[in-house]
Amino acid sequence: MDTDTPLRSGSRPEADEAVTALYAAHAVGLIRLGFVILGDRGAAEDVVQDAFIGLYRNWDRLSDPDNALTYARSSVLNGCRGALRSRARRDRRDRAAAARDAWPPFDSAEAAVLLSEEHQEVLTAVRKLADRQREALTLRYYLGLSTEETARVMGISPGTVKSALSRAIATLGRTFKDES
Amino acid sequence: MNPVEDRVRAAMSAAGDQAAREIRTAPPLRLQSPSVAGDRRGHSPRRWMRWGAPLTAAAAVAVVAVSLVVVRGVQNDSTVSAKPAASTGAAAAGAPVPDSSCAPTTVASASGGPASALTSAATEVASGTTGGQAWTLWSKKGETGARGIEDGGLVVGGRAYGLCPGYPNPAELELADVGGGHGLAFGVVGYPGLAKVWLYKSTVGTFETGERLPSPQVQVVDGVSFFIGALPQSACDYRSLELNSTSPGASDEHNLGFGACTSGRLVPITASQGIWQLQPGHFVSNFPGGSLSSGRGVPTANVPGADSSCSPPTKASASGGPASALTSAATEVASGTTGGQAWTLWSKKGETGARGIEDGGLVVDSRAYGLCPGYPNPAELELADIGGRALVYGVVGYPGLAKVWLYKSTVGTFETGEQLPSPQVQVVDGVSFFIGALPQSACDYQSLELNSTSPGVSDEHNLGFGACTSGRPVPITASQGIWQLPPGHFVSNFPDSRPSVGAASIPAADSSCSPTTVASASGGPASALTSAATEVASGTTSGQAWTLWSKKGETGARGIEDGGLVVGGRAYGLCPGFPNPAELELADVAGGHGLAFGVVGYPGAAKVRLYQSTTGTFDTGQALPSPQVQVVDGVSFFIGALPQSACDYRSLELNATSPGVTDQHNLGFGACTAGRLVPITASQGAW
Repeated sequence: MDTDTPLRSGSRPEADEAVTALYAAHAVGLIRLGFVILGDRGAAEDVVQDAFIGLYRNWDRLSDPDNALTYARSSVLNGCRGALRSRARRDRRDRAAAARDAWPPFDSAEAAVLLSEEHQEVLTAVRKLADRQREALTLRYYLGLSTEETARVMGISPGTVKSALSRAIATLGRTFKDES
Repeated sequence: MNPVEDRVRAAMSAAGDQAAREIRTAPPLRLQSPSVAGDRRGHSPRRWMRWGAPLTAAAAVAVVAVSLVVVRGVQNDSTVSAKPAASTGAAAAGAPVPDSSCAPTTVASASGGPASALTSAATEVASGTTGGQAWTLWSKKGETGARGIEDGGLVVGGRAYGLCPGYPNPAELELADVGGGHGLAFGVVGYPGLAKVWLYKSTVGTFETGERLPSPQVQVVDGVSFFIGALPQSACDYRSLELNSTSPGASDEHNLGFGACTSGRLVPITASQGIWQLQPGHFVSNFPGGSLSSGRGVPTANVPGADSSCSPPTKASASGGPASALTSAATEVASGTTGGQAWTLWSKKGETGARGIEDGGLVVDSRAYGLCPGYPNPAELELADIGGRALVYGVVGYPGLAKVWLYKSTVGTFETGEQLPSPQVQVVDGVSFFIGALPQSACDYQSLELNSTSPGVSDEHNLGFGACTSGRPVPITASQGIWQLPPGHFVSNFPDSRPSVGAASIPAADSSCSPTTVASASGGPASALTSAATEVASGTTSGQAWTLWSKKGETGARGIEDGGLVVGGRAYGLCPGFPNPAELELADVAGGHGLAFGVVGYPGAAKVRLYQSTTGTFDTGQALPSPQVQVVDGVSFFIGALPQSACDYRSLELNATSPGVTDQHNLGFGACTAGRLVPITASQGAW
């Protein structure tokens, strides 16, 4: 595909070009990933922006540019983790604000209409899982990554991915049972 | 897989679909020099759109469903627009943007007045010149999207014209006689993104496409599409127009009838019927059938009142609670007994008609149940498990007493299976409320078909239901409707019987076919590709040997699209952009003959046809030689030499039929370079 990306006259043309190209190819997908985890498009966009700024800043230290997407995915996961923790801290600090401004499963009315009750409940339960379990589930079941790919993105071993998935499913099973 | 995994996978899939519908673009990437970036730490801006002056580094990405197009950066922080035509495809047809309430309804006789009343309460959002006349478009202050525009209006020659034909439909049109001997047609397509819009002369009460009229200009304004065009004849000469539009993910048809015209005013709309949320490109010009041919006095559909806004929608899990929260804010408007259970119906205080009822609710056994399944449709239905049996209730928003029929059905069709007992119907506050008990448990109905006929108009609404919970409404998982049909003209088999098809093997949700094929970088040495991929097929086309490679560790269409084709020791990517089910690349590799190749991601052997075409259409012009097709790793790979040089094709149409499913993909091509892929400049698909 022909691109017409503007490049600035910075002092790091290789990083400029590589990061801009990676953003062009993957920003939308990564924002969607953040959106699925966070349920908030604006927050997802922030996380992805921060991830690419980090990637740009550390480009020269990246040992293998072919791993840039894996790095970006990892950064997005880290950013989502931070956003969820910030949100939880804020909710604990200010219960009134939490009740008034409850984080919706998805942030638009259209999304709320289109996502069934069942799916919203599952996603809410997934969001409450431990970080590692939530991330493993999302990478496997949303992105469709293999266990090995998931392990690379998360920076853990395939065995740990499998056990995180197993625990996540068990936790969700108990949650669903309690709710029914 | 255990049931929990099934649920997680289904929820993730639904969330992914939703993300794909909602997120089609990325904001500009604003990289900073390292020193500046370092300074930013600690006060990170939290919304990109709030960023101030443009920074030196700015890239803007616009992905419109299929085509990923990187466009020149943001100047003065303005939004970017994609160069190619709008694309459709990967996203399923979504519900229309539920933000148009369209008030006050445009009154033809009051239109064409001084612009000041409009402009003082609205903001100019677009301007242009059409048919030699300058115009400005205004959006009501405090509102956005289609709603703002429809509550605003158009100013031509210092006169204001409304833009709200009546009930808030996804695709609206007004016809005005503004002088100069040419009718002015303008309107809004409320789905997100850039729509393609076609206008035709038509016949009232049909969806016939007669003489095609010049296509209007279309531009995205506040996220939706505004169109405007001058017609060849006076506004007085058009008795009916057909508006067909395709937005990313959905097509619509709207047939309108017009009354007597008055100079300098809107032409009054006397009839209106629409089919919404069609699959992209699936227009049904002869729908609803021969019985509605012109000249037979077909009754025209009334334009219903726009009084249902239905916000917020009913949340199944929150429904079934104590009635007091509802009854304290609403007024009892009806009562009765159904299936042995007494009920009362409540309308929200300060509201009337369908809107009041849908913002109110039903009380059974001191429990409140919502009555607003989602987008405000003219005929709504809820299914609830109350007292151990299924109770079905809803509102038909057209004026007068409706007849209501209920059927078991199949999700995603308009099939009428076993007819269910007809519910009681009564007029409440001018519209029809219905309620009935069903023979089986609410858990036993996977889909219901609601057919209703009000005075002058019929509707069909097909709904799918999820897992039921005792004492609650059953969550609605699918909904599609045909509104404003001529009375009694139900079309149970519309759009057609849909065979079950294998799922397309397309790349993962976040894959933009990496590395995205870049024409300028294609045609390089094959080693970079072959070292990371596995050969999966080979052959000879027009005397040139080729091999096909799938990325190691991947399978199916994903592997092939992340791999590529090798011809003459050179590697060519195979990924036009967003991962679609049927992809095509055009390369100039063979001395005077273009090479077209691609993947159809559905399982099984596909039949593939190629045509010369016109960018931005699905026209099938001259048929080109059919390419070779072979099944590779479960999906279809095709490759063929074209009669002319790759440089001679500005647009190709790829039609592919896999077992049970047909796809169309129209592509536009830019300037060709010897030995490279021809850059794709436009892409749209109907999957």
